[in-house]
Amino acid sequence: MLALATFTVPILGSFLTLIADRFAGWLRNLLAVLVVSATFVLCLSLIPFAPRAQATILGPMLIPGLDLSLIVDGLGVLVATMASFIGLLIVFYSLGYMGEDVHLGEYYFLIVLFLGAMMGLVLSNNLLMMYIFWETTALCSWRLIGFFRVPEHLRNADTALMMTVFGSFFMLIGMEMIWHDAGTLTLTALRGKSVSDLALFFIFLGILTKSAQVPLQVWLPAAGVAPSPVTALLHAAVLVIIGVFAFARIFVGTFGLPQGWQSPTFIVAVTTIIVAGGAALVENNAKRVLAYSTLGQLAYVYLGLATGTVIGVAGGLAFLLAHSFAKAGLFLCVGIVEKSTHTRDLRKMGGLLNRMPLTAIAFALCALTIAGIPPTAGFFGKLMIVVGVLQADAAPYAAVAVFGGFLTLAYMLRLFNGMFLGAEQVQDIKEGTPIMLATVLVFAVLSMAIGVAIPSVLKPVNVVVAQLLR
Amino acid sequence: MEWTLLLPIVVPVLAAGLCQLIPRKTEQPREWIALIAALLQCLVSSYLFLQPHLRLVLPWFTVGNELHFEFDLNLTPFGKLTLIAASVFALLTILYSKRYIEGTQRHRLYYVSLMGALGVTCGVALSNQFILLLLFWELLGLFLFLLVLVGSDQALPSATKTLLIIGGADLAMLFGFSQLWYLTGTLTFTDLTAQSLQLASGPIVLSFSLILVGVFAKGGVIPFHSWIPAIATDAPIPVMAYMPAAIDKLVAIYLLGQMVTSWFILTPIVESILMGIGAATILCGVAMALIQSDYRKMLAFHNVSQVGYMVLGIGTGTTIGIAGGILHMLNLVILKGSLFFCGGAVERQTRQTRFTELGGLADAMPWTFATTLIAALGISGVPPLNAFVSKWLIYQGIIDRGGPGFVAILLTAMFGSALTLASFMKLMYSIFWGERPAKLQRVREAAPFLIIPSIILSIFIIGFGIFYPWILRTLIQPILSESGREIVIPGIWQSGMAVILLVLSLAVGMVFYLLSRGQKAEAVDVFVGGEDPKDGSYRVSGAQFYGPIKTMRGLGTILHMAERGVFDLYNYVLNFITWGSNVIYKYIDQGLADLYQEVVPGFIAVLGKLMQLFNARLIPTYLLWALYAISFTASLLFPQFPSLIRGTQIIACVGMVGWGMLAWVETDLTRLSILAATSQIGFVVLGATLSAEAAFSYLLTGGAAIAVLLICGRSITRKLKTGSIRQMNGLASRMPIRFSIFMIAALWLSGLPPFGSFYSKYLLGVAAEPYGPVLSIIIAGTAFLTLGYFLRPIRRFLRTVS
Repeated sequence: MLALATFTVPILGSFLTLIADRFAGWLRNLLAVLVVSATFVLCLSLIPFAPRAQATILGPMLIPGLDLSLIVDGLGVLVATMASFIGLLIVFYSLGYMGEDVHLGEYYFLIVLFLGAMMGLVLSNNLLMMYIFWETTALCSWRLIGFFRVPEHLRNADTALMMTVFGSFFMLIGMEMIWHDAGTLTLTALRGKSVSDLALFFIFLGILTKSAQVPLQVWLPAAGVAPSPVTALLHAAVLVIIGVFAFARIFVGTFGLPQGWQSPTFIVAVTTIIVAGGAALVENNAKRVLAYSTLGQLAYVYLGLATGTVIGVAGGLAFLLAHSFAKAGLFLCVGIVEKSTHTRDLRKMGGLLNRMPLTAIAFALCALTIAGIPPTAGFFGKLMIVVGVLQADAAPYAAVAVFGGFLTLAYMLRLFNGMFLGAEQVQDIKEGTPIMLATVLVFAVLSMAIGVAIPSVLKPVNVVVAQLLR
Repeated sequence: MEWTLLLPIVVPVLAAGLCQLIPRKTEQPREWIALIAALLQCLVSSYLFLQPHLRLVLPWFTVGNELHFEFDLNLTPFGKLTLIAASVFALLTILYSKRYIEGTQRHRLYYVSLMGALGVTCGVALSNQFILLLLFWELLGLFLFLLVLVGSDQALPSATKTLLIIGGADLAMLFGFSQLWYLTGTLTFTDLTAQSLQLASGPIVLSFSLILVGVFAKGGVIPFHSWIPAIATDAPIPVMAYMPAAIDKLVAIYLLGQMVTSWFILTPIVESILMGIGAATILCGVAMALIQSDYRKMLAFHNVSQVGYMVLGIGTGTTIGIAGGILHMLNLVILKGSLFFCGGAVERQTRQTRFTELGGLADAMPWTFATTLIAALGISGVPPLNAFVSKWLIYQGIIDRGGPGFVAILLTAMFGSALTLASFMKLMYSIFWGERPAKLQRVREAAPFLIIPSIILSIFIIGFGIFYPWILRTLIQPILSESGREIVIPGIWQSGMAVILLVLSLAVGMVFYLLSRGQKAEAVDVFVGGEDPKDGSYRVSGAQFYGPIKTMRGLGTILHMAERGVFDLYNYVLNFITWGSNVIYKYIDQGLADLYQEVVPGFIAVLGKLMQLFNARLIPTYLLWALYAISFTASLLFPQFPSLIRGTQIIACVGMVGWGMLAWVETDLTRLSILAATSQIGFVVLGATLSAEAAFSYLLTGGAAIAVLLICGRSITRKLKTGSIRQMNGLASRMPIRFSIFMIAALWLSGLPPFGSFYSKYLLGVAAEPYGPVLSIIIAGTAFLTLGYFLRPIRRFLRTVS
């Protein structure tokens, strides 16, 4: 029941927010915060059930393949808790960032609905149900990317929607094929069953588009035109994780990677690492740099998950956790800088360290995690991924991954230098509002804390890995 | 007592934390905290030095059953030496910094990073597990970056370069260690020692080399050296003395020593390569030092050059050579520290670092002069000072090892010594001898805080030289005893060849010096017109010493190229990466973006336009409706004829895809709705051949959406008095209800969940499954087209009207 509430509360709540907007802005904001907090609390309350990994079927089959079946396991609860927590912080930040923009009702409605769909997605035990939530998140992000209704933004939003839908339609075909082959779309029932490789390939294609892996990466950098809290939500915390989550659930936990697929997956991942690293090194739009960085770093997670070894999968998940917090923090920091300097162009910033010291510190701490410098979780995560890939007898890919680490260090350094060091270029700069600063500092502290407290972070991760590789 | 092993890490880190807590402008308490912590650290290190072997293992975390991370600290003799050297040197640097750093803007950053660097250095020296070592090792690089930035904002490029070189090398090291774990199954160094790996197989050599890259970058060995000269002009002097000259050398040689003496068994080839790298580093470094005209740069290149001796000594693989290498590391820390401190004192008093602006300061700054002279002679290997002993041991090691080409290496090393002396003569002359420039007439001796550290170090220089047997016995022998080696000191006067060659090297140095003195006359301006030359215009700066080398053909060209960074590996790597990144960005990333955003939609649009030519008066559309009706009825009536079914399916698919493309380019809202409806009816016709249930469900859901779209579109057109989509900008804000209905109906029709027609499309897809994936792809493809052609008007509606 708790699991059902975890996604119905935010989904219903999102409509309430929309209604509340008709009455008063403060009511809408309050409601949004309350609903997202409630979601987070519900996720926390699911934690005690996670070790048992129980699936429940709540209702009869509505149409062929779609039964309302939920699963509360380590992976789902881990991702749900993480996403709802980050979502909560982002809603807080939005209170400061969005101020009194127009269409705020739409904004909070979409954000809360998005989170609700995410919760539903991670707790689904049925492929078709997953797919429904999957597309719901795509629709929400479509409107959120084009939120400011500027022609260029709308075009980028459409690109994002078209590309992800392109992938997900293939995914749907894959699911239809699995239904045809296996007679069920319930994940727990599918475990260990053999289905056609083509079906799995179609699903894989959908996953790759959703996490913007090369050559389907185009939409993610373009989506950077959205309001900063949205990009944090989309690029760091929730949307791109969906792909990784589905990969872990379907290809690690349910079917296992088919014979001979490991190398192609590795190739996609390392290509993405290099392409993203290279593009991030020459891009001048700070948010786009972070977006490239996101897809590059997600490729590390894929690399780890595709090894199928305990170390690799654990490393991938640990890094996913660290990356989400740190990247959300980075996007929000850039949001503060953008709000104050009215530019995203690295060449037009500089020397902000003295004017915005707290933002700079938060940014630096988060960047350390992404660059994988000890003692952050980024370091441990990447190390474990490299070790895992070596264990899978794929040393050349591990070498490319390590080289990608160098690129990451280089572009993070370039980003930090360009924004905060060097000569001051913009006048009249103010530090962000307290609520925005508090949010980014929480992200910075958390991303550091995950690294320092890596033993206690790895405990639940180990449980998740054990469940996945069972 | 094992827990005391934590103290050398915890004390400085705590001090760093305290320093950070003190407000930025309050300097004095911070200085005291640093001083007290450094004193405490010296006590702790001395205490640990007297302890026997200690080991502390705290469980950390485990991944699966294979990877056990432990907080594993192990007190080795080499670790003890590193601890004590780092602590003493930190204390001296803090004393010196009292006057040098006070009042600078980044006072807090300086002390925090200084103490942090000390803590992680001790961490490196104590770690017994590679993850732990890497953790401390990489943090050290980060602190170096921060310390360089203390200088000024101008230091940014060189600090970045440093972090990239060191960070990149650290990543190589990480890979090397990971590979080593994969090969040996252990993370612990003591276990690695027990396995004593022969450098025979490829993967092991690869791991060894990758770890070596990390060591070389930290130590500044060619070709990873270029960060040291780069930061030399930007970083504060105490940072130069503390980091590249002391701490980084300590940890680099510590790790190299551990690798060579404990973990790996070197093969003759590897030894030769190490010696070759060492010799090349000596020669290149000193040659570059010789032509510098800025003492900071000169010292930086010496820093590079001297590390070559250490690599050379350790690379010999002989006991005496390794002992010499380690001792030279210790000596160099002392010598380089003293030289940088003295240089800093001169800079502090004169505000100059260039030789052209300096001169004749010996009587103004006698203490600084004396300490510089001692260190200069020491570093050149003049007996009885400290580096004489270490260089001699290294030479002896080369001779003992023998092997092909050892004479060449020996001569290179000795020639390097000669050039060192020669270049220091240039430095002494330029700063302390000769004529004092008019600007510097009022210069006085530096404050005691700036001199005392150098005086202490000078005592070390002389003491280490004279009491070398004791130093070797107490500091170096225990390290080598770990691997069962025994230093047998050949008496000074018995080791004939080395000593004779040494004296010879000094003679060559003197010859160079005298030769250069001769050139003094050439450089003076001739006084021509009978005017009265102003006092001091005869001054000959030392900057032009060895100037002729620069004009020499061959050598001169090479040195010029070196100064321009032609031999800097970093530049090449960076250029390659920049070039590659640009290619990736332009041709892969932007290329794909163009493909998805321009080419594919454009291609569909071209097809649509072509079809539009025929569909001008919608005649083919009406025709299609008729065909739909006929085939629909036929397939319901005669489902037993497969060819009929096939034909119906083909007609339906053509209608779905073709009219989808037509809608893709339609600019009139009403016509768009009609074309969309035509395309959608294809689904129903197709459904009739697959499953009646799916067809019926689609008829319901799709029909509803089409009806809504038509009504909504009509109402919009009527309200706006135009059907052209182009003129519908900003409709979403003006008619939010109509817009919302239109949008939901469009998404509904596109088959996006959670809207109704998704389920019907899914049912159709399931029913089409027996016919293979092509039919499913056409169904999905039409849905995709539907989304595409509806997004276009929606985009218009949403646009803000400016």
